[in-house]
Amino acid sequence: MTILLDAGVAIYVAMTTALIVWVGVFFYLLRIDHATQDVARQLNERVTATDVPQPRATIVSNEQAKQ
Amino acid sequence: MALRNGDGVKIFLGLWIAAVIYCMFLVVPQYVGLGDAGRIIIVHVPVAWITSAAFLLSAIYSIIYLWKRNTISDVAAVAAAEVGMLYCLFATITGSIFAEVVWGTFWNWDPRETSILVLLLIYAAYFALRSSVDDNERRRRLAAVYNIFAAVTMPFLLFVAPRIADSTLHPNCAFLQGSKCEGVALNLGDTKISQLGDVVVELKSLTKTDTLTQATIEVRMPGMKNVATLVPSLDSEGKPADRPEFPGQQFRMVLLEADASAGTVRVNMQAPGTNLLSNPRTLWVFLASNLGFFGLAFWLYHIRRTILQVQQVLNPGEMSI
Repeated sequence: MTILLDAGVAIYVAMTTALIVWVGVFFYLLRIDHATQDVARQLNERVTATDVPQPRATIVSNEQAKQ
Repeated sequence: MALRNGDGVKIFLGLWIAAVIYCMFLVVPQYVGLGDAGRIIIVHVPVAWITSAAFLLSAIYSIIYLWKRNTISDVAAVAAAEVGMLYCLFATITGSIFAEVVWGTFWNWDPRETSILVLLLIYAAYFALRSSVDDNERRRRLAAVYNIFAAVTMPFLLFVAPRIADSTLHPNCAFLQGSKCEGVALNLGDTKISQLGDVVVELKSLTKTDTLTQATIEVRMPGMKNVATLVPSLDSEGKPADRPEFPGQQFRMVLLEADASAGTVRVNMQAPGTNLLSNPRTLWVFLASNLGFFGLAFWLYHIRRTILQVQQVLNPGEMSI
């Protein structure tokens, strides 16, 4: 383990650690971003679907009404 | 994980910050006196700057909310404040790492450390306030007013207070010239003890020869331990000659002025890292880091705002914070 703390090596160890942490954070954020987009899209679709006015009455001609 | 439209920009951002990390370690040169510890400035300073931008954006949305009373502004204010809080925490952690390497302790209540802690507490209280009021309208209104007052204190705590403090180890002169870099004046036989950073300094004697003016200065490190005597000097042209190192720290004492007849001197703590950005490689990496972390902040803000908006639609009267 002490070799990782050697002056010539430590900086590469620090950089690799920082890069690994960043890659992990980045993909985690990308996953959350995708999940958020999905939920927002599904919600918009649901809201749009419920916004379509349902027919409350049907207009028919007088003859049809008499029948 | 399948890629989607719009992911290109995010992947570019990811690669950009990865490149900044690479350059921070392998392209930016070491700073005199700081060694590799100074590299953290490439991340620490942009993050601190973006903290203030996020809190300012949050306050702007709070003003818009109070003006128009639209929920979307309140949601945006919360999202921006959360990003600001996250960045503020990151700036505090990176600053503490720097302090451990250079000052020898993670936390020593330096004015800069204290002011950023106060700022964190102020915004923690903002979130506590939001969670403590049940009535939605009242919560939003109170939080917006509080947020505006919090934003008013922010520039003072981040930029003014640490610079007007006589006692700070923070290298303020690294980026902003003229910010409390003039040192302290000491008089022979003066009962007043001056302070330079966290170090108590007292002028003991002042001698002048044809070639050198030497000041003997007693130095007591924080906690009154490590009492030492430093002898900084000026050459015949009035330029600093000997710059002795403070015991246990990578800071040097520099004699700026000396008047042997009046028995007065002006000394300063030479913080390593001054004029960091004069190196072009450091400057460009620093600017790239600013852009990268700004992009990341915007992304985080966008994600959090979308989540809060979805929450608003699903439960119109409720918000988790």
